[in-house]
Amino acid sequence: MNNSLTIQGVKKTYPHSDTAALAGIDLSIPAGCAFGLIGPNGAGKSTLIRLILGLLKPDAGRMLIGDHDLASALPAARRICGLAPQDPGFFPLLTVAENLRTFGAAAGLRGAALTAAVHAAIESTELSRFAHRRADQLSGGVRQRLNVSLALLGHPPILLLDEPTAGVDAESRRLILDVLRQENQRGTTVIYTSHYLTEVEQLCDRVALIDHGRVRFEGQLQAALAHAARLLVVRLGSPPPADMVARWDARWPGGDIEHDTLTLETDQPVEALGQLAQDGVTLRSIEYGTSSLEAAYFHMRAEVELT
Amino acid sequence: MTNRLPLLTALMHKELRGLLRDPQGLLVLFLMPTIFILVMSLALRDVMSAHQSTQQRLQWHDADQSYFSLELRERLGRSERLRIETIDQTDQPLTPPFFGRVEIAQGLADRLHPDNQEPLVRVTLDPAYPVAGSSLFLTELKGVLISLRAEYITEDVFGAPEAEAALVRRATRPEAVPVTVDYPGAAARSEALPDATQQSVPAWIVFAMFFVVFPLSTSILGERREGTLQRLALLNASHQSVLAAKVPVYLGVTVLQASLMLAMGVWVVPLLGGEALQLSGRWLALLPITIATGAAALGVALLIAVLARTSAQATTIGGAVNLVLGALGGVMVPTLVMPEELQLAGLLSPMSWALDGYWDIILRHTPVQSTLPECLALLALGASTYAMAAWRLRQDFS
Repeated sequence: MNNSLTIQGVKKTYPHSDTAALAGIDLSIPAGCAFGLIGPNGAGKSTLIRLILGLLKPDAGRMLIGDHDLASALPAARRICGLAPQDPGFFPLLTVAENLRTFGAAAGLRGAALTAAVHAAIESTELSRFAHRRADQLSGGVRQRLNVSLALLGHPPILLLDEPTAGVDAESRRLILDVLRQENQRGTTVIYTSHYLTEVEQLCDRVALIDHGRVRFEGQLQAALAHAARLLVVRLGSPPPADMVARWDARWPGGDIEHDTLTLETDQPVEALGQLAQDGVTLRSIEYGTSSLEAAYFHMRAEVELT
Repeated sequence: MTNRLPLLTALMHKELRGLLRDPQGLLVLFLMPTIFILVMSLALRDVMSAHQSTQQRLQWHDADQSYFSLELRERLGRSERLRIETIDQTDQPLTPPFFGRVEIAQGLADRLHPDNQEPLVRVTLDPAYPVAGSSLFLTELKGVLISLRAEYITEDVFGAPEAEAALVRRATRPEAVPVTVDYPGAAARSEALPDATQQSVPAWIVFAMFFVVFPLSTSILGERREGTLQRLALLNASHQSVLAAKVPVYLGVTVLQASLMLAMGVWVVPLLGGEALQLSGRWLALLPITIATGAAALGVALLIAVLARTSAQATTIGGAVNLVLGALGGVMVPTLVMPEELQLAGLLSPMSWALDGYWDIILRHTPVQSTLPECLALLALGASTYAMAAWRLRQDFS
């Protein structure tokens, strides 16, 4: 199994919609990597996740999980995946341990193997203290830990986690990331979506940016960060007047001014700042070459807007 | 099937635990029908009993004080259901606790003459008193007046000797007019007439079983809302497994409901002054109709639960369906007293089929095989609604 997930030319348009949610996606996620799927709301990320989970059928294209084609071998594909969906989906009146046992049985685990898997899942997500507490009485953070522990049941070779830290406290968030990092180090492929880009940066070695139904960037995390290495981000005291924006666009094509924020990929930051000074613009903050995924993300998004 | 068995077992455990941890569901399933049975058996005890323990109070004003007026009171007073109380004045309005008043003006003997056109007595009845009770009282009153008129004609019009007059007097009393009345199956009961408990316990058992829609819809809709069904689908669990796991648990609940309510009728209702439910040891004979009724209730409940989008919708639809089926099926009012059109409509209610099956065993005392048509009809309804629910749930899984 070279790739954990292979997506080829996948398209999807919802009924009664004029625009395609996915306009032709190609992705290959190598086995054993930690892969971050990022993108703004409405970019097509959730649609892609639902397609990967087999909850939607694509209009065109092909998807494979491991060697299993989703179109013809969905149950087999699901068997090698541990899934943590956005809606945790527990039995609210069952305890943590009972939920794990019931879903473990649904996943095909039996007898001693089931007991061991439940025990391991509880231990790894530090849920021992809550093992006998009902799911409907858990805090948001513990609920998400249970969500992740359900995905871990039986140590599947691929983990697919859809925003597992949304609305989670810092402690639980760190614990979830630690658990996923450990799983990845054991050789498990982790496919992770999140709006928290720092988490993606901490966990993943590859990322893909999806926007307007297309993959805008796909590659090593370091390559994504390199996008931000020449990036100048200036926050102005107030939105600039139109004549200044026109002069700026003429002098610095490829730059972008949105409201009070100016972004520009350049090797001449001093000159650019000099022109701002000549225009008498008040500056609130200046960033240059900060290699964060967040900066890279906004830069890549700006490029998408320009195209 | 072998592969699915552990999953089915796990899901059945889940259903059982979920039900035991749902106090509202347990209240609806067990406490509410228990209270219904107690209240209805005791409330209707006198209405449906052959001999009422609560006497109906009647005001009596006799300005005549003749042999006939005194005899009228004496003969009416033999009725166990009447308590006659003399009043001096008739200018006060009739108010509860009295249901009626009889006024006898002077000269009743003259008014008994066949040529007389004047009313023999004046009767005032509370309009709020049930029509059935009023009719019964008027029938009793007229019966005694007819026997007194027969006496009067024999003695005073025809001038018959005392011996013949006495013969007429004896022969026209109600107890001197024997009639044989048969109630099939009555030999098995100590009472010839079915009482309130015999009639209302089966009715409320059937009604209560259909209330399984409330905890069941809470469970299914909660699992859909929380994404639990989706997670099960992602684990390759089938919709059939999810649905099938509910059947033995909730069917067991309906059988337990029926058993508890029968036990209430047999042992608890008499402790509170009501008539005991008499099963004559036929507990097991009730099992087929109980299981069939439970299956129908479960099928209907599953269908409502999977069709509803919210718990509020399921509760409203489930409650309304139960009330309509119960009203048409004779749970609240016996179908026999309904207009013919409603009786025909009642035949469509599964509660009426179930009730008929219970009454076959409890009231008519027929062999258990006699409930086969009702059982088959209920099982067919259960199976068809289950199939429709499975078809709908499949969409959640695909």
